[in-house]
Amino acid sequence: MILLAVLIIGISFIEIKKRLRNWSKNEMAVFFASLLAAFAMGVYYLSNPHRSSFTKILLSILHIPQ
Amino acid sequence: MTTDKNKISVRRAMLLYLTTTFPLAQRLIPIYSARNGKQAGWLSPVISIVFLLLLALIVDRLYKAFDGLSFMDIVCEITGKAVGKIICGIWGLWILIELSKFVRYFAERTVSTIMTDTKVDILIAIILVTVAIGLYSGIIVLCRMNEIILPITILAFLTVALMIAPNVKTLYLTPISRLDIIPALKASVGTTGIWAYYLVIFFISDGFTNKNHLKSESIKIIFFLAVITLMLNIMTIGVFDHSVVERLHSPYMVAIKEISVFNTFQKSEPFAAALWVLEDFLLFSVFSYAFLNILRSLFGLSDINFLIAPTLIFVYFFSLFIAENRFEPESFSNLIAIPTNIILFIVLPAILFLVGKIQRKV
Repeated sequence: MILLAVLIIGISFIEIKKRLRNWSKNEMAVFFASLLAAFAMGVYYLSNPHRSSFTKILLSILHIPQ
Repeated sequence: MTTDKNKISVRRAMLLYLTTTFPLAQRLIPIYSARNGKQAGWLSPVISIVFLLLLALIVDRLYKAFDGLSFMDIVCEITGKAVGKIICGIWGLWILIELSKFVRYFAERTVSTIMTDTKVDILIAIILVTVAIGLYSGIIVLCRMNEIILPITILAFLTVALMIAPNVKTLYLTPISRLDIIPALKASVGTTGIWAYYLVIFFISDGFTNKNHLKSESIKIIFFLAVITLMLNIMTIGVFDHSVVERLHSPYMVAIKEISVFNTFQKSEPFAAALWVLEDFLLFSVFSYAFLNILRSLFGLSDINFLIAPTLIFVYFFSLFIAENRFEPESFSNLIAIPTNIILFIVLPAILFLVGKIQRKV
């Protein structure tokens, strides 16, 4: 989890440093939204790697026997 | 060949389609065909080719009717901006899910064939870092890499086909009668579902140079794909029988293990596995690029490079979350992905075409 946070902060730092001057508000918003989505997915998975998989959840929602 | 930074030629796009579809075909089509078509399963490409040709003609007509526009813009022109963006968003989301599944497939297959002591997450991290490097280089570089990798892949496949040919038993492929029409139709669902990734290629570029050749290039590639898929089915179902193929995790790889030339040339599977890694690298790059390009279109971005790292981090965790073991990606493919591919990549463009026709825009 700490490694993930460091990675996300590192990527933010590098991209902001590289593009701060020629970034539009729209692009900045999309960048931070995508970083947030990646971080949320990472936290969700790492908090319990043994939870039911996406496939299992989807198949049970659609009532499809495996 | 290329006149604009983000434009590639139609020929290069079609070659990319061939490279991305080929590893998926090797992995999934023989199993699906054997399971649903039994001994007639090998005929599945003969039926699927009709649907793919129709899709190619639809895409060609759309590009001709809306000259100079990207595929996402064409969809927005037909349905209106809001609905068009929703449709493109659904395509993007599905491409992201499929990308994560392919990444997991790659890791599971590599662990089960050549790197048995390696952890799945390490393999996923390594391939995604490689994909990131490829994506930062741009689509033109990927196309050039493809022009090197594809001939090697095809040559290797043809060599394998030649070596396996003596092991093919006609008993496993025949008899074929009119009673096999329904099983062959059922088998063709899987083949059509895999081939439907044809549409993904139109998301990787803002446009294509020499679009006038789109129809002819598409038809050439589709026929070529049909021939190699037919060979693939014969090489697997014809060697092991459908009852065995439907139970195998990777029938093509098992068929390669069967190769023995004068008892000297044996164990060629590491070479095939190495080629699969190269093909998979291009597959992941193309799908990532398609997803990023859809994001660019949806949010009106001038660049997509800054989204590569967040996207691939997401894919890393989602590919770990998508399945618990190596059997689940297969269940996902057979039960969910193939029908969804047909709906999103064949039925939906057909509906868009009809809507455009009614509006007299196409």
